[in-house]
Amino acid sequence: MAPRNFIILAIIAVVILVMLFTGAFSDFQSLKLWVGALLTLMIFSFLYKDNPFYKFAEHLFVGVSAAYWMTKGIQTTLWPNCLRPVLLDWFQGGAASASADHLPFGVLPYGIARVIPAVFGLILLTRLIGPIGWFSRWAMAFIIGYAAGTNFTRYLQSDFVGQIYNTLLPVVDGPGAFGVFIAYAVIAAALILAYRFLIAGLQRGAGAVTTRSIFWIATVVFVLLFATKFPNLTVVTGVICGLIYFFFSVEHKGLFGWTSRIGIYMLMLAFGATFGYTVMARISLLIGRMSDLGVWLGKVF
Amino acid sequence: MCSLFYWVRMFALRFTRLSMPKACVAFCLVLSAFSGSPAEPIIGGQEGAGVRALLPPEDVQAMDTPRDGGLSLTIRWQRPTGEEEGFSGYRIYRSDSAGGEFRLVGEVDRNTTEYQNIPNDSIKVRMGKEYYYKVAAYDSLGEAMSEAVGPVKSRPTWFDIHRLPILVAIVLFFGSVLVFFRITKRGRGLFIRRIAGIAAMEEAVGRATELGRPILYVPGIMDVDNIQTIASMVILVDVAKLAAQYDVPIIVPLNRAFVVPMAEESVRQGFLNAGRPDSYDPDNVRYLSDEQFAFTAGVNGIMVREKTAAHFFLGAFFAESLILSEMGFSTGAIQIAGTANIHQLPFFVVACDYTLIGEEFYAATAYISKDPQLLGPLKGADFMKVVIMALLVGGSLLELFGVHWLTGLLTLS
Repeated sequence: MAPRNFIILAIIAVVILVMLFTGAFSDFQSLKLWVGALLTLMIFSFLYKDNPFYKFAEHLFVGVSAAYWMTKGIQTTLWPNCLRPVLLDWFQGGAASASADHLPFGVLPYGIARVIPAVFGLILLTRLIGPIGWFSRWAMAFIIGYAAGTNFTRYLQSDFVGQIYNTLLPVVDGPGAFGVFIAYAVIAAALILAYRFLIAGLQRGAGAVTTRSIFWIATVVFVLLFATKFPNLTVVTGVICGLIYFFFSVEHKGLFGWTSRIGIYMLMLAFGATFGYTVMARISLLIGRMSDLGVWLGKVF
Repeated sequence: MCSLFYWVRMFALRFTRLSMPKACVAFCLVLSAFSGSPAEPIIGGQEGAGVRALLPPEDVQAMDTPRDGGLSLTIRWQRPTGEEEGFSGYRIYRSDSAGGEFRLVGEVDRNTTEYQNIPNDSIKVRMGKEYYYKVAAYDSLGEAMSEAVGPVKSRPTWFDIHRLPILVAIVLFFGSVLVFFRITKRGRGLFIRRIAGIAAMEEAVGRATELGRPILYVPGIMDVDNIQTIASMVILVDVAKLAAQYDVPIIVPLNRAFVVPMAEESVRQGFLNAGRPDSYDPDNVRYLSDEQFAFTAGVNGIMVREKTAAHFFLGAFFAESLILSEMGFSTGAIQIAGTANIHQLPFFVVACDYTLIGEEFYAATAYISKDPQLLGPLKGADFMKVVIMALLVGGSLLELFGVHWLTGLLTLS
């Protein structure tokens, strides 16, 4: 026996012994805790490198979940949506149709309506029979066509018309906002002029670096204040710049390039916020797992 | 005289809620019995106890819900005259016949005077079937039921005027697609700006070839009814074609059983397009598991054990995006990702070499093939973006000046 396999067997033997001595097999809850903890450790062992314990956990997870979803599919889809109604109609002479609150298409008997998708399912399986394998493409074409067609109007409503509706905002809103807006516009013009005639022409040197730094800090502060003061204008501008970034028919150069760059900056800002938020949620998942391991350790020692 | 008794009765009803002595209440109710008021009161839950009385809702109407698919009915009523407060809400009952048993369909609060019996209700509406409805005002002690109204039956309508903006958008989009399809077919307007992620696809396949290792293509974790999975399958044809041209194996792990035949067809088509159908290996299109993280663990295992050199994550991804891309990054593979799931894009951006953001992902196939049939929709989509920008600028200016007709037009039912 190779030394590696010997070590693996020794670890398994030690674990089983510890399980025996700590009463892991005494009741179902203890066994569940042990199995959960060991599988967690096996998965975490991948942080070191790929190893037989990770492989075992991975294959177990994949195999068990595949089998679970297959039985779940039979239990929650095939039986209640197809087999049961058809059998009820068959044996009770249309009782299922009579008791159904809603008949598909308003006319079809309950059982027959449920047979149609079942036939499509069987057509899909014809791909396993060589000579008539091409027949499965019909069902596939129907599924894809149906999905694309129904999703099109749905997305058009939620992602197109709905989004436009939510972005149609009064860009300058609130009492005295016009005056403030004009003041901000004057400052913006001053910053642009300062860049054009002062910053752009600066030569290299320590003084130039300081001046540039002050200018860019002032610009960032101004942009942040502006975005806070006029959120609607920021949203509308951000959406338009984002749309320009996703415009494929024109080369992104000059003014078009600048606006598209603002668009991608806006996207990146949003991504940064999403990243932080999601990582925070993941940390809570890790804490949950660690908490389970803590319960297990308490039980062992 | 009648009106006098009516007011006495209203007085009684008002004070019953202020814990008036029961004798006074009984006296007032006796008076009210002779009043012949607009609506007869129905004693609450403790009928005959003389504690308090409720009036039933008035002017109850049941009608087919306009502009729907024929699976809902609308019931409207008026608040009982004089019942300003003191009752909890309304209950809506339904029966198949006027004299039949009425079953509870739903409840609403006392400020609502309309209810829609919709497909989400436990008691659904069957298209074309006649129903009768009653509405009852209720409180903690009982309820006052209206007369049954009906029969009413639901019918579908062919066109919903509230969805006009959707129709306009569809006509505009498909019209522009057809126009641009004709233009691109004549060889004009073929330009598409450079998309770094797509341009790098061949580079990634080339790198896998140099290293003599397989390519990994993950088309997301959603089923075939997801538009991103469909888009990913179209790109898979092109990536498989590149793999066949360079003679590199391409491994496609799948999360949904339904996607397996699609993926097999796509890879086979790619190999066929490259003129190398004999190189196609069906064992490389692998169904792993429907379970999200079991699938992720399986893909991680493939990355490590098969030492894949180029990873394509193109499709609908969720929480597994960071695990997959981080694992791929640790193996040193070149990674190209693309998804329209905004919440997963940040992870791909930080862990992958190239990321196709949103619509760039959908533009990939047209970009790679330069096929006029695929460029038409892309150009049409660009035209729609111009329309959107014009709407945003114009609409926001209108809103600024207090003109709301455009937002009103876009308000969906």
